[in-house]
Amino acid sequence: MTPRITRFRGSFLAVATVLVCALTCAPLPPASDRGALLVRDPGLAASAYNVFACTTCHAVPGSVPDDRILPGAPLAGATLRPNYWGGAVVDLRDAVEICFQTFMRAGSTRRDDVQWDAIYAYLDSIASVPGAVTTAVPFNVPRTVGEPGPGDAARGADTYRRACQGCHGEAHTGVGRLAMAATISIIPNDTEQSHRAPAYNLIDLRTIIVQKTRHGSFLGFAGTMPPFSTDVLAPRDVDDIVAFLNPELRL
Amino acid sequence: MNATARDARLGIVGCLAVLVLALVAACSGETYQRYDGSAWPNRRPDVAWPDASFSGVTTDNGSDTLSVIDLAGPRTVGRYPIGFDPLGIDGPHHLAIDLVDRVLFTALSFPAPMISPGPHGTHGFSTVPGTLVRLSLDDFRVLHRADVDYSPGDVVLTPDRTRVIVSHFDLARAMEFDAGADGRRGSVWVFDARTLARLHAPIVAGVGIHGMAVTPDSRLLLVTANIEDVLVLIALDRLDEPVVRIPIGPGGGMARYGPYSVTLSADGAVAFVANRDGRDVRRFDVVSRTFDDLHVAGLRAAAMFSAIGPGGATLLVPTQAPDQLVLLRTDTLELVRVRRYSRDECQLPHQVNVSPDGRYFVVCEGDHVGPGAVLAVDPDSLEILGRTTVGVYPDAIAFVPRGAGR
Repeated sequence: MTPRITRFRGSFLAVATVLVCALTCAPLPPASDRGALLVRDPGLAASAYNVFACTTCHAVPGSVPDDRILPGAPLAGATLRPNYWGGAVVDLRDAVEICFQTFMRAGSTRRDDVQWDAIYAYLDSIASVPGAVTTAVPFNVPRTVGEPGPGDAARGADTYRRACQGCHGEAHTGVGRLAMAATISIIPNDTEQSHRAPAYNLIDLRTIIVQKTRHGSFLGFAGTMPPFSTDVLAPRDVDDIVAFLNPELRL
Repeated sequence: MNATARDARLGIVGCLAVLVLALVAACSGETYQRYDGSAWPNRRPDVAWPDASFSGVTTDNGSDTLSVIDLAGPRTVGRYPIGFDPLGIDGPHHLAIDLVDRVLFTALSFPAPMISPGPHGTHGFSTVPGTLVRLSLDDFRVLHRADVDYSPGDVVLTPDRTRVIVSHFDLARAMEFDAGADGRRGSVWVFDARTLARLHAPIVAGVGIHGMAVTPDSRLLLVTANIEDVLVLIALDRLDEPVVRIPIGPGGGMARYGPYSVTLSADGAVAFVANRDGRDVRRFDVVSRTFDDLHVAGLRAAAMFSAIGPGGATLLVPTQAPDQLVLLRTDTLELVRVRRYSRDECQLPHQVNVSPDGRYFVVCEGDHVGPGAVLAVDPDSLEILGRTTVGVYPDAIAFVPRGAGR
């Protein structure tokens, strides 16, 4: 082997090594990038039955703008807010745990610290973006609700599309819903099915839709639905939704 | 080998080594940086304890808050949310404070949801087991928590600070008439006060057990069984021994007397049992384990949580229906004085407690919808010295000396 060839081979390997190093030794992406993926991932809860990601209910910066009505407060600014859940919770981790356990079926299994750190890193990275809400977000939920008013079915169709359809799919068919039966119900069919006469009457049936909308899976109700406060869905909006759904009492 | 060839060979070996290291690093599994900040920092505000010799703190079981009170007014200076359910009522029920470890114990009772009388209510009425929490006096953050049974009733800390004890006022269980005597009885749960590790299997005590007291030597627990009409005695140093049930009076067994609370004299020799349904107060000799049937204070009102007066000569008893504060002699249970309360003064008085510096306070439940109240009262004349509003449906007050919080 001539010295010239040896020198050439040596130079080639050196350049190749530098290239490999440049590729493999590049700075890893920040934890916030991982967090940004995790908040969009239903797999975060490690439950085979969970279909919700954080972004199912909460707006995040950079999402494609849409007109959805979301039950949860926007995530941007969350780390700086003085309280959560309308003042009932003052610690962010506690607030997130409620979502994690109640809606995402995570139970009380041990959390992955690295994942949770990444989620916090993401929340921290969007704490001060334009439009971030750093003040307490109103969250008023009436503990008692009554029969809905007459409502406007046309308006209700649009409100249903914006507030309900993302999870429940199209009314009466469930087309496009987040998950199959038993996890996400078809509205109002499943409600009619499980609340029949003579145990229930039509007023009951209409009231049930209001109660479930307001209380979600709290106050003794089953399921994993989040509650819609009057701050995101006014009483008239719910009346309209019921008018649009127009549930029928079955025997 | 000439120098050039040796250099080239060394270069190749070096490059290969670097390459291997780079590949190892690339395959180490780290695809993102670790967050180098402080994730999930505790941003709870510190409790704003007043700069007073003693402050008060109430459990507001209708609003899921702890109210902090400057006793000098009295004046409420802060309300702090606690609990885990953001929509429902967690129902923090009674409290005990360990001033050495600077912690507060309370039991979240999760009462059946007060949802509208609509049809979906029949789906719910969750019967959720309670939770005992151990909170820091700094910011009321949860340091420890432990599951308890349904409907925790009273929470006490033994005087030696080693154990925290929870009774269960489980009226649903009490109504299960087919369940047999023990099946209807609520249990007492004993926890390590530092860790909330349960120290013993649940101790089946009595039907509808509620108020408790522990003797100064921390060896005997007295528990009222509201439905069974007995005072239950549990040897805390011999938990495996059968409990002792002492009838409040003749013909009991179905809330004829309704013993609701028990208050011990300073030396632990005498206990005063307040009866809601019997509408009286009875004197119990702890040493002989007998009730003094000769001296019964008939109040014609439901007796609640009482306190020993100054010097031990009197007993202050809050009552409901009518709402009033009653002063009794501890030796004979003779009535000394009564102070009736208007609705605006004190609706549904629940507890009297005395601060370590000898001031007396009455906790008024209110209407269970709006704020309750705490009164400062003169323990002799029973006159109201001051009043402050607290959270919804307060049921107990405890005291914290200056410097106990952060």
